[in-house]
Amino acid sequence: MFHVLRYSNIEMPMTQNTTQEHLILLAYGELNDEERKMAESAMAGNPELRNFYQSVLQSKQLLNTIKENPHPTTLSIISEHSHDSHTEAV
Amino acid sequence: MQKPVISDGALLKVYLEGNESALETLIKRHKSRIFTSIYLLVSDRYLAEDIFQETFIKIIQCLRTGKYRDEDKFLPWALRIARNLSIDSIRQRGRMPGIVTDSEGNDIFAYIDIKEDSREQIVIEREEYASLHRFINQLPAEQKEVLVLRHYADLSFKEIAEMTGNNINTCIGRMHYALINLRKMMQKSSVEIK
Repeated sequence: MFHVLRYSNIEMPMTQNTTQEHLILLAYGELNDEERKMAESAMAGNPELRNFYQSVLQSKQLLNTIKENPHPTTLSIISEHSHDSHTEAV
Repeated sequence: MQKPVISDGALLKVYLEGNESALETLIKRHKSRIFTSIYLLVSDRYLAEDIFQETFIKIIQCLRTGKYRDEDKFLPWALRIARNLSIDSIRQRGRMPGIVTDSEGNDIFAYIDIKEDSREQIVIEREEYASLHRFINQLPAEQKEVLVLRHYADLSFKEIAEMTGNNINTCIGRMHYALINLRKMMQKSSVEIK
């Protein structure tokens, strides 16, 4: 059976390669209900796809360990600038 | 009872009416996404601090002069400014950064909240953290950009396509290769994938 998923008006035939790309969309919550069900059904009968999806989820989890924040001084400078520009405007 | 979340658009409106704390709330809400994206794109903490600052100064100027009207899309707009400034900065330096650097060679983990108190565990986590940074920086520039904008900036592929002027399938394809390449690098260096 030849499935076609429609994403943002772009047709992507569900070949092995594009299905992996759909699983990336699934992992990032960018498939609608119908597309999600189709992707899950494709995974149910295909261990390779299941493994790929698991690997995407694991990579996402690992990538989540990187979280950086600006130094408080940077935030103070922005606040000061905002305050000054407000005073000037008034 | 949970407090209702004030939308970005409502915060911008209140800010323009003179409430300075509305901007602080906006920054607090989005600073991590914006800063992590800038930092990963330019790979230099001090440069990232400068670009983050410059991004918000530009945002303030646009708001004050009425140049920004799309109140519901604050984050994609802010990220577009941050990305453009990051790209300009990379162009000025004449190359894409290859490794994570700190201008003065300081500990890049100074701002990272490490929960484990075991010294050995901290060392392992730092090594893994540094490796992951390095792997992201070793990705081809176009793959790295999509990965950073999708994963860290949390933009949709559609928004990334619009921002970068590429086809949406090209962006998804680049993300695909980025994830595959990262996985290969992690497996090669035995970074633990939990």
